[in-house]
Amino acid sequence: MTASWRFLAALGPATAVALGLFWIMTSLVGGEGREFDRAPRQPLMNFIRMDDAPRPVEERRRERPKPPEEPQAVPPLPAVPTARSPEPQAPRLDVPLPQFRPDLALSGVPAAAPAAPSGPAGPVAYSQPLTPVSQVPPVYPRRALMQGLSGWVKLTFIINEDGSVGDVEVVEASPRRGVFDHEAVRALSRWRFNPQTVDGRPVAAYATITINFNLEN
Amino acid sequence: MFEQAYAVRHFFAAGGPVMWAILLVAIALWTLILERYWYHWFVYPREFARLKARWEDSSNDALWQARKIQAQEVSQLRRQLVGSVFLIRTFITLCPLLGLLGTVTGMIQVFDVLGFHGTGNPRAMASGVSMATIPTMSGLVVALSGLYFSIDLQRRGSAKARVAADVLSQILVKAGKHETQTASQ
Repeated sequence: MTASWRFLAALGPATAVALGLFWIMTSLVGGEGREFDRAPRQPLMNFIRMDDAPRPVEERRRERPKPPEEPQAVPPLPAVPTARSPEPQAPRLDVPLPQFRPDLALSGVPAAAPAAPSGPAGPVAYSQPLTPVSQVPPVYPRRALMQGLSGWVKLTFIINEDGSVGDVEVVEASPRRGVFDHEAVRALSRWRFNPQTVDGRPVAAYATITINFNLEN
Repeated sequence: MFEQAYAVRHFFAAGGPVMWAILLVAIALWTLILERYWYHWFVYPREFARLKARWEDSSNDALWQARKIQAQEVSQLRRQLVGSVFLIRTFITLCPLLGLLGTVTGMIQVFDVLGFHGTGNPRAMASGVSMATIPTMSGLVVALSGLYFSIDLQRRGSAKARVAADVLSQILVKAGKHETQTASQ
């Protein structure tokens, strides 16, 4: 009788102890219980992205440069019309020039012989088909090979009287500079052409050539 | 107070249904423990004093009979002292096993989630994992909280029973000596 009463009376404190145990476990887990204390103290930070105005979309379009077609033969360059300066319209003066005759005794002085015509003043355009007599193939540059680049180089050069190549200059190149130029110049310098002949005599002539660098898979 | 209650409630929700079984076992365990301490501190001294007084007052003629009666009473006393300690120890053993049960059910839930979502959703797996681990922890904590008291109660009960037997037999011996002395005179 008394024993069962004791059990009933102990039930209440025992429940309290058990709930206390579970509360201790909750704080052991470190879950929700601590967040209640911590939440109001922490300042809340919120990042909002603010754009003033929608920015226009920038588009970059890249186009493949068209490789220029290989000229079969450089046509003879037409005579470049030299710009003629207009006649100066100076006011004409009707001043009576004094009539005098210089009677200088120059008859004794030997006159200089007229200069013999020594060939053309400048190189002429190369009129034959640009087929080299001997050709050194250009080496594909290692850097372009690794990057997978292909392009072309347009060069002007002078074919000397003996058929050798000199005075090579790069006119245009794609990609822009430095990738193929050196190799193209190096290769072209070793080529040989038939010299241009004028009246049966070999003369220096200038020509233009485009060397293509194509990467074949 | 409300916040703590909310936290405990959340804890229970995370732990799954096994938590309620563990809570029931914890309440039963602590009811038994508190009852035992109450008995040791308040009830037993009175009972023992009453018993001692009865034996001191009583004048038994037959010593053998008195010894037997005393032995029976001491045995009853020991049973009262140590009786429910066995139940306490059973509950303490039960608690981690219940936690293990919760682990297994939680793992089954994790596998269900894995089967449904695949491994790509750890957030869904988390509830199952917490369901697996929280009952284990709570079972262990309840068992640990009761372990010391169960051992203490066991030793306390057996010691008190031994002391009671000694004291009562001493009373009997004194009475017997007194009796023999009176008989010789």
